[in-house]
Amino acid sequence: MTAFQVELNHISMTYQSPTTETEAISDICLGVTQGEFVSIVGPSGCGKSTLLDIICGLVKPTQGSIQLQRPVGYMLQRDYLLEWRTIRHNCMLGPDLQKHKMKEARPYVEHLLETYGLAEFADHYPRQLSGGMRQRAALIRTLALKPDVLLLDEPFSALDYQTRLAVVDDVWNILHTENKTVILVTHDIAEAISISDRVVVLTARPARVKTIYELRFATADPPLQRRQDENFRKYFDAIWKELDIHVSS
Amino acid sequence: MLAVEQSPDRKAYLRKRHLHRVIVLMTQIMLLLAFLLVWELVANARLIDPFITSQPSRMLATILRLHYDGSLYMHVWVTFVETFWGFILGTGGGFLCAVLLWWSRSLNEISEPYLVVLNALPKVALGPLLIVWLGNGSAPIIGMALLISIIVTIISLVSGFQDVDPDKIKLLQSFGASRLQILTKVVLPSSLPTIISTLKVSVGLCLVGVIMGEFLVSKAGLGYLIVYGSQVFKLDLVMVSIVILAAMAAILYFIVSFFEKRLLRWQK
Repeated sequence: MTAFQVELNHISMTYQSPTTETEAISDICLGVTQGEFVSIVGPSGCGKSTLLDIICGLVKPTQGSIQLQRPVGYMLQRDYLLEWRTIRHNCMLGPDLQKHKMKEARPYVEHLLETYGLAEFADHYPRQLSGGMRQRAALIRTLALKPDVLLLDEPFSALDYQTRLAVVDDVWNILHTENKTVILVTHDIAEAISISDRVVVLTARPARVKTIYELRFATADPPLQRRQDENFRKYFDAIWKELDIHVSS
Repeated sequence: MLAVEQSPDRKAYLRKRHLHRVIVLMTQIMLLLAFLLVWELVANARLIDPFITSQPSRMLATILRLHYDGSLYMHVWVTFVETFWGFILGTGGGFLCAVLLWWSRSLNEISEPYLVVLNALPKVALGPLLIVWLGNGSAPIIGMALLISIIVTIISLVSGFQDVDPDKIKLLQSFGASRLQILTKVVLPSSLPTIISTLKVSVGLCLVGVIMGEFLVSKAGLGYLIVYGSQVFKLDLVMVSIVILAAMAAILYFIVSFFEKRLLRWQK
């Protein structure tokens, strides 16, 4: 019995290819408690996405173990709604693949579509929806199997800046209401600070945990308002320095 | 649908567009009519020898004769049935092989050089073998159609299957999908445009195979009519057969197009 809902114990990952061996992740330990929102930031190409693949169980780590309650929900960089399925049908993809969950998932998905304003678009095809709505549909698809833990891999990166700010608020609201445990991978420091309870900063490849920031804000504000908080700037500067991003000359 | 008042610009645009379409269609029809008319007149004036080149009026008489003695439909039917079976076996077999090669990466690597060579080999060279092996009925003709269509079907389907976005497959895996589910839920539906365009190519190739087969060995069919007509110097019969063959090719193509429109509605 641990206090953590997700626990990573000394995860390491080494990739083999015909020409070389690449160490992507080195000895990462992390515990995430129920209902917590944790962001992982790090230099690009440091193995953040690989870490999510490992947590999801798609990739087996070379070393270490993971403890968590399955199923987990995984949201990828783009919405990947299937063009030939209607929105409702897309949202039912998870239950559709796990036939026995169909019955209990159907009313839940209808409820989510209703609650998050997609009910009237349920019979539309994805290309008829705006970027923000598609992202919301992708989130409902992720929630359909009622996962306790959600893994988000830069789910906002394909959106333009305006939409993005709104969608981040939107997603935060939904996840907060549904009381999910979330691990978000992003390269956007501001986004990480605005949405999370904790920010984990990784080193360049091979990725290790460099620092963990416990974020303290006045209230549990939605992300957009957090950006006004005086602490926001402070955290941003600290993490920016931590990441030590150089533009190579 | 709401009746929306159209702006004058919109009306002008639509009228222009419509006019353009009418002009294109009329020109197409006129070109054909002019060609037939010139052919007829030139043959009548004996500028060309209608014994060798035939002429529209003689072709029409030949069609009517074939229509009244019923042999027209018999020959068309024979060629159609052979093409049908060649198409079913060629695309069906090709589809199954493509799924198998998608399923097993090793099998795909192993078969690659064989497929490349078989694709480059002119299949008509195998005709004599087919006759020896399968006899002189419809079997070698269907066999020829199958051989011509199956390799192209396999190659284009496999590359279509492999073009599917790996992240879509990852998405399904995150839901715990099996390999069979990945195939049926993502790979096949997203390859549907490729599958249909392959069918379009394949139906044409099957017809090529059937006619080649009928040239080599046959007692009936449009290919038989063409060879027979040229041997007894009835060029009217050859020309008529070619025209009917062209019509048949067009009809087969439109049948596939019809299914394409129905199956790909989500694209529109």
